[in-house]
Amino acid sequence: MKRVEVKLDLTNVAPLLDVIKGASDALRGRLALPLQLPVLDPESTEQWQSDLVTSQNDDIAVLLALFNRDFFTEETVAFDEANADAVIRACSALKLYLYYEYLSDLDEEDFESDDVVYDVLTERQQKPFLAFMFLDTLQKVIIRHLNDLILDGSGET
Amino acid sequence: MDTETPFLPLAELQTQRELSPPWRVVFLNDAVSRMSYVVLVLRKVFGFDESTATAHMREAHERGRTVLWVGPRERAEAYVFTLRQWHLNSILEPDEKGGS
Repeated sequence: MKRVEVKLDLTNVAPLLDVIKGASDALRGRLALPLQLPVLDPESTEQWQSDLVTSQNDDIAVLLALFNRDFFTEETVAFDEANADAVIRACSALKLYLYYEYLSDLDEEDFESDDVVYDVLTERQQKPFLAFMFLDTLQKVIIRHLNDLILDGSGET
Repeated sequence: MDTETPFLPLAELQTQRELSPPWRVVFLNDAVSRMSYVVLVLRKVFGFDESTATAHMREAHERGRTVLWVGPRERAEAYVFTLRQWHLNSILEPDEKGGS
């Protein structure tokens, strides 16, 4: 089975995990991307909301499980067929939360082109921004190395 | 006693579905989803080849939205649900032109 291992610097990553854990707690009962589909009837909207929150939180649990006790001794996380889909979805959910909660007043084009200057961020934005970039990097690494595996997988969606 | 069945015969149901107006699956651009992620998800969910997925991603990026699929509502709903599982902002709207 194809597997990607990423070595992380615990000193840099540990503070970001607090931010990520906080974001995951905030998302426990809500969607990172609010469900605004007026064409759905109220009953369907409620069902979708519930199913999507469950799916989102299952994915986030897979991501958080990477940073278990072993991570704090080995400083390594591994991605493979079993967790790649869930981890990249979880990264997206958490990035959306961090963006809309802390970073949405930044210039959208700068953000999309990675041209945000760290020094202009307020103190409240700095850690969420770094956590966002960390999740973004994890997502890019998985897509770069496991793209085919994700496309060919059974696609637990 | 004259009883009415609440169920439509299969052929009639099929005809109704065929006559019902098509619906569009529309992807809306956002500042958070990276291009490589959008292309990957569109390929995975719709089975697009890379150039088609990239063209949709670019259209969304430049115009704010792109129509990904047009067809029966039930299937359009399934696509929107799946895109939302992947956290891509997508909506469902009637295709007023009656086609793509």
